[in-house]
Amino acid sequence: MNDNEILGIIGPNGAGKTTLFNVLTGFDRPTGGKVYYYEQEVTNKPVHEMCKLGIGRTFQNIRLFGQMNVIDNLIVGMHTKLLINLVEIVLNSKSNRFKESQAYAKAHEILQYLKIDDVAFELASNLPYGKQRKVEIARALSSQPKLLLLDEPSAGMNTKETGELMELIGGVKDKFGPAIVVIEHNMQLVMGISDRILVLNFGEKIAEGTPQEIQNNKLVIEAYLGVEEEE
Amino acid sequence: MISKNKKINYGLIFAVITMFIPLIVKDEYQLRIVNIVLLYSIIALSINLIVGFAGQLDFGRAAFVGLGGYWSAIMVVRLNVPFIISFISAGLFCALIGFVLGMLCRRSTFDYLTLITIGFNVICLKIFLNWHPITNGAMGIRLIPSPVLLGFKFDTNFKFFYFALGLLAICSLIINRITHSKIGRAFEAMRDNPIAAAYSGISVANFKVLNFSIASFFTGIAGAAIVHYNNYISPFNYSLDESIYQLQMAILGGLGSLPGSILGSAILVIAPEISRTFYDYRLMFVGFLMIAMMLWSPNGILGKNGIGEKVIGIRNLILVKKNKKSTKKIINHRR
Repeated sequence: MNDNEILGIIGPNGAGKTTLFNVLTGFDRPTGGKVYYYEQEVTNKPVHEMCKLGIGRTFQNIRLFGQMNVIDNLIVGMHTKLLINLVEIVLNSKSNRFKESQAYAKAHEILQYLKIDDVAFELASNLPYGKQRKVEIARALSSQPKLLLLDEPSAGMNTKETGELMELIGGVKDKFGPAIVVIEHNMQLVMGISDRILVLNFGEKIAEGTPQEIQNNKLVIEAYLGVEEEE
Repeated sequence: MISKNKKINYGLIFAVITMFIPLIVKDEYQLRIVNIVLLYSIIALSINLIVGFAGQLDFGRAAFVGLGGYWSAIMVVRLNVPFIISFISAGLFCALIGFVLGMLCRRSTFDYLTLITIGFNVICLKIFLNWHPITNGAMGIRLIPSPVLLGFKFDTNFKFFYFALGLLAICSLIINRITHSKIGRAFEAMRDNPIAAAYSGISVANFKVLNFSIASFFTGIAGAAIVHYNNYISPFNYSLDESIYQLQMAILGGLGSLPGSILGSAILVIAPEISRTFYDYRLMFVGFLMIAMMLWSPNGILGKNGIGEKVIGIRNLILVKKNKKSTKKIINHRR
């Protein structure tokens, strides 16, 4: 994985794409092999420490903090960056207020960039699906990740929304600078934004390359369409 | 959705108004009930911290009320420790016990934690009842002195009212600050979605323990205050029934709403006192009240989407629109 690139991961259902994310982030333990992140071994690290190392993630089925404001969702995302201790909170010290207001300002900036600042004070669970997706991306961004993992960001979106999402992901990379890994079934999206594509099937990598190479790869076509039987 | 400055003003106005209660309520018995409401409000607040904010179900709060009470009573009566030290240490002792209990069930999930708290309550009750040399068993401990601060003795209902009010004000201020901070948001996040909370860098297990310890501190403080007010401690006040009653205060008032907890405890403390016959049926009354609440307003009176929010919803709507207009207001939203 290179800095500042978008890697697309595709594969048939059950190929192990989401599992790859779970292992990368320490949510599931690998049965074999090791995970390296910036030359540091991170196998079996708990999930909350991976966030400190700079990995942000969104989920296939949206996981927002439903009973909280959109903007508070983002502030929770900044948890590891907001260094305040209990004493400061109880005394409501100046630095506490300063850090909090800074966090709110930054959260608002991210919301503005994703064009969802108009819903900043809505409860997250009351938002339409497309906006919930955006809030999830915004929350992942708020932790200033160096690596952003997006799990099927376009699931349940129509063509127009998918188009917007493509622009958004490209823009996010340029503005906030994380490397992005996208799991996606929507070929138009993956081919459109990825610098490189990785194809998985039954938990194994079957191909890797630029979008053009993948489109012409025989193994990939077989995995998706099945092998032609010879009679 | 009300901006912070206004919220403080409401709280101040409310506090100032309540300060005149003892001047209006001359009846000693009624004033006593008001004092009990103030103290139970602190317990309801601490339960709200666990149930409303962190989303855990605790059926054993009365055990911590009792632990705080017994600790402070034993310190003052048997060891002649000054009130202020025994009082604060009661809170710290409960926080420690809460921490230990939290560490033990660090990995247990929601249902099991509930069962553990029930078990803990029963264990504590049996200890209070049967550890004669320390707790004096079923007889309880008598002649516990009233609170003394800087030489001033809060020995009458009238004087104690201001002690209780001050205590409630400090506790609710601290809890309010915690819930509006990074820590409070972490509690809410792990209530709404523990997996996403972990991916946001929150160590869910550790924050559960922290939550339990903080809440136990306030429960212990309230427990100690009650004991010094009654001048008497009896183990029968810390049964499972009492835990459920306290839990209902928090739920009735509205989970996740701090004023709700005070309102809930006011309703549930005052209602049974209307008449003594009614007192015997208080659990039945509470049962009916709970069923009605669950059907029409599952989040309590002042909780999210509760009755209170419907009533003041229109005004809030206007305030939210104002808030949306500028970034500066958004920043001031919380602080």
